[in-house]
Amino acid sequence: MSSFALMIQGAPYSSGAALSAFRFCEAALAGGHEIYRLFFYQDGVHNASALCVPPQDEFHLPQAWQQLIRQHKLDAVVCVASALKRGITDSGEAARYQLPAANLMAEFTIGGLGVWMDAMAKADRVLNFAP
Amino acid sequence: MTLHVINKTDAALWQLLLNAVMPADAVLLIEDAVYAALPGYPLVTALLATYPALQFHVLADDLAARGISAKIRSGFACVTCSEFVALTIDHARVVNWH
Repeated sequence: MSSFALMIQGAPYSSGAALSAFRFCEAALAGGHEIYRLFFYQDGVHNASALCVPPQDEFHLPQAWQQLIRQHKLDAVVCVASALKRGITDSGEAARYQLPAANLMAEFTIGGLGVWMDAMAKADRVLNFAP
Repeated sequence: MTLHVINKTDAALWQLLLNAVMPADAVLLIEDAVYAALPGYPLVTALLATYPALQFHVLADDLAARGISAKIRSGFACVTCSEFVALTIDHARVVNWH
């Protein structure tokens, strides 16, 4: 069994990056491997929005992440700086900046690049899925 | 041994890959880079001219999504997502080119 740290830098539907990362994550888990951490960076933070409503005949990637993270109890972190400047926030940051709403799915947490550094140091393999 | 994962056919990006690759490495084509698996793509030809034994793998889902599964260069290995995972473990390092 190996452990993986995955960085996701692509927004859902904008490029193939996020879907590639999702498929890789699914396959690694199916193979009995560990996902040490998912780190959503730059435009990748849009994968964690609770407000995405794709057409019914399209794959709902944010919801698929949500289910995979919940099912396997994955550590899914959204970069705080990337998220806040793109309008992705949890209730804590929303309160701090007096924002009218929060939209981060409950399965994700907000964190800094330090937790990505930790993942790079600890995981057996590091993959970066970017546009 | 390094696994180079590349996701587009951008010529400048491929030039960087060409400069970085070592003879015992492997290349995995994903997303739009699967088009480079079609016969005659010049930068693949250049890579193979420099390193004839270089292993090329192509992600099956991305080939199928573009309708070119049956058209890839001979000698290129079509891989599933679980084989992608295995490739990352079989190689000491993974470099993502994007």
